[in-house]
Amino acid sequence: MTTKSSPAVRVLGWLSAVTLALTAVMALVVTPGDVNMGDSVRLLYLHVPTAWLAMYVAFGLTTLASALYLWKRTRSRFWDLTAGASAEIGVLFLGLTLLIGSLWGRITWGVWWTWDARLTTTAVLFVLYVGYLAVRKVPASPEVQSRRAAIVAIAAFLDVPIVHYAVEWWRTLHQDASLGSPQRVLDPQITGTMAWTLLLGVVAFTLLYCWLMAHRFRLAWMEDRLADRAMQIAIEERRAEAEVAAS
Amino acid sequence: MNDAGYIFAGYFSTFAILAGYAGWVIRRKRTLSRLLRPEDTT
Repeated sequence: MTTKSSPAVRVLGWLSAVTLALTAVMALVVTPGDVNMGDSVRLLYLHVPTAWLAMYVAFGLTTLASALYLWKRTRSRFWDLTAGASAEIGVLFLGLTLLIGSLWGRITWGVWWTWDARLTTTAVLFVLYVGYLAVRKVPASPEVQSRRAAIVAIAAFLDVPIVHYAVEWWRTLHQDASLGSPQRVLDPQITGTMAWTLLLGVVAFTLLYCWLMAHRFRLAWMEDRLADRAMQIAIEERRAEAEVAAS
Repeated sequence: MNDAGYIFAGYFSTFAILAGYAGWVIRRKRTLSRLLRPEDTT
């Protein structure tokens, strides 16, 4: 592994920048307003992709990597660093989901926030993963730190299905799925340029996630190497002190 | 466009936050690569 980006990662970066710019143009200029929501629908071309990326992709990968870390046959620092990097990006995307959702709520419902089941469970998910990132920083040996974090990550993911089904299990202000459920695939609530723009947004944010993951993982790996080196230097200093004291 | 202020605020803050985070990661990576020994970087 090197500290420089590979050509593939650089291409990924450019592709994500171009598709994000295209998404913004399509969302703000090309697509029409919604019959019911009016122009506030334009915020959903960011809200839906960031939510999808955070909950299912980023936190999904964190959970998978944490499980692989906990399983003795696959235990390695690679999975722990992958879990941490993905969770950090997931928290960023979920924070954006809450921010954009709040702006949409202000236009549509007239309030920045309401204790609706979908909103509340999403806020709980955000706090759980911020907690996970905090647990990763609690001082302990690297093995204890990683094992502890992996258990917290798996426990936190239990909230994802609750967030997903919140609109079905409880009466909520938040609208139900436009595409994400089997019946909606057969009878979509969004069609034409609006559907294509939403799809483009999902592709753009997925590319961005992959690009951010490549860089964030490499950074985590470098931080890990530096911490190892600092530990080796500390051990060598203690040994030298002990030798001086003994002689 | 109705409610343009909220909509543009949403787009601006999203792209600004993402660019800020990406910039932080890349800057920190460059800083750490100067601190690591060559044998640690490969």
